Amino acid sequence: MVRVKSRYLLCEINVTDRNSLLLLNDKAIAAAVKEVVARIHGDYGAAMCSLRFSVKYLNTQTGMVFLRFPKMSYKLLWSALPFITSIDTRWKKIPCFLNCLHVGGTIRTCQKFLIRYNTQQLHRMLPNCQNEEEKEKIRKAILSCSIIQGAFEDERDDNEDEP
Amino acid sequence: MNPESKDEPVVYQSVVLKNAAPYQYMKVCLVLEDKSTKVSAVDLKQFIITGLKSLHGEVGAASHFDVLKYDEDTLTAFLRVSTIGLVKLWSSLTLLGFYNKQSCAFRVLQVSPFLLSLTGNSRELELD
Amino acid sequence: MSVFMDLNLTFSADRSNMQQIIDTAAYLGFSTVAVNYTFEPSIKKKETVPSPKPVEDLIDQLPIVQGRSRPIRVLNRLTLVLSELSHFRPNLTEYANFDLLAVQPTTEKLFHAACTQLEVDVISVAMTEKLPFFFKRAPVNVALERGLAFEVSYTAAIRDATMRRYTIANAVSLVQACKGKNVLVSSAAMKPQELRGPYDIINLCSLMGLSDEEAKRSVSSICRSLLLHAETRKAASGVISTKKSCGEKPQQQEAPISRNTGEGDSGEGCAPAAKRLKSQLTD
Repeated sequence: MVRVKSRYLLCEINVTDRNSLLLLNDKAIAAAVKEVVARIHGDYGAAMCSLRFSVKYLNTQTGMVFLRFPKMSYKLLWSALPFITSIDTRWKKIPCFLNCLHVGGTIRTCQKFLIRYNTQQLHRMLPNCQNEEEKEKIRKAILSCSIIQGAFEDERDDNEDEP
Repeated sequence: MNPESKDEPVVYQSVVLKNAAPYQYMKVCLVLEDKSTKVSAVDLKQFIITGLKSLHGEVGAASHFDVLKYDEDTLTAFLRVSTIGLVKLWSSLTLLGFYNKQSCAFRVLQVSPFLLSLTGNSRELELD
Repeated sequence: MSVFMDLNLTFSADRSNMQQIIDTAAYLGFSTVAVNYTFEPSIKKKETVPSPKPVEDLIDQLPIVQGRSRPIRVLNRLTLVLSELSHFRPNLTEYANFDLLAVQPTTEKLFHAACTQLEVDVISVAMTEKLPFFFKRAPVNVALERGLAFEVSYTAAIRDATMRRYTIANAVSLVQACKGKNVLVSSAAMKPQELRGPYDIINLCSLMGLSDEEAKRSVSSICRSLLLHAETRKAASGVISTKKSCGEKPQQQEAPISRNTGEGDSGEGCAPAAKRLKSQLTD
């Protein structure tokens, strides 16, 4: 069985005002990527970008986005991503830049990376809490929104895997 | 580089390129629909850059090439381009179809890593 | 050795234009060109299949191919734009007048049929629009097995920027589907300025994801094997016989296939190009 190979780029959308992230949608990001690729790499880039390019996943809360590119041209397309300076939505233009965190061959590896990355971020931010009470609050909040029982243990496991 | 002989007053040396040649030289000829149109060297370079920009975008437009020599009467030019940029330049020359709204074509006559080899062309050789 | 061919020059009634195009093709080093007639069959209007003009009517004198000192060979080709399978009538005698038969399928079903059933030589892929279907591996593999070729024409890319995007995108997806095998690159030129030299095309192919070797094959040996395929298509069960002929002149090797030129059906003109050299060697 032959399958068509793709590369998935996990990018973080960095904005100054986090509320504006909520205005984003798949189409706006896809259009922004296509536009910048056409500007940087011309008709050739645009043609490459029209083949099996899509925005697979977008989290407007955290500003994480999965982009799918065909394997043969992902380096070319990736090289245009740093030139994104703003994304046009229907309401307003959001100044931002894309920070690529991970490149994976499947969505699954990207997802694993994203979970690990988020745990890391949590550990990084927890010390910023003012007091124990707040810390406990955040822990509770995370537990309450996890769907499966024992998700916390899974997270712990993931963490322990890391050297 | 290995010098062949040091004793003789005139020293020739054979240059062996271990990697790909740094530059490629192209001899191109612009064919226009209306043969009386004049194209200056500046126009030519500008035209080629436009072609590069439309096919390969800003990356293409930023790639470096030189017009070494240009003959306005025959519209023939010698271009020098770094080896990495050859495919980009050549493909955009191929896909250039219009010069100031008249159809045109670039005929790439010769491509070589050595400028000297563009002086001769076995196709135009007249055999007795 | 490579003999370059361009198997798609758009037919135009303008005689001087045709002459100019063929002259330019010969100047650029193409030793064989095919004049293309496009036909869109439909049930409602009973249109007749165009009949090819004899080569003498198209052009006064065949120009000499640059670097080969032989006159250019001019063939005829018919492209059927299919929108329904029933429009293709396999036994039509008019089809036999052409040296090459191509189809341009517009739906996935027709593409599948063209790859697996239809008795044609070339499957032409529309380059002026976004593809209405994906190329599936299974029918493409069958087509490769049957010796068909997929055609990419580049003139649309010269004319317009959006067309250029579609051309590159369609060509890349085609090349990926058939892994670079049996891709034929032709011009579909209407003006002499739209023709490009063979080495330019080979370089252009690298943008479409073909390797240098495959790119060179796409303008030379694939065309040649297609012409042989077209010969066998006309013969019963795909057999061509070769007669050893005496007194053959070497100049006639590149002569146009005698079927289009007229009567001289018997004798050496009929033998396919591949076999001729062999018969000479045995002399």
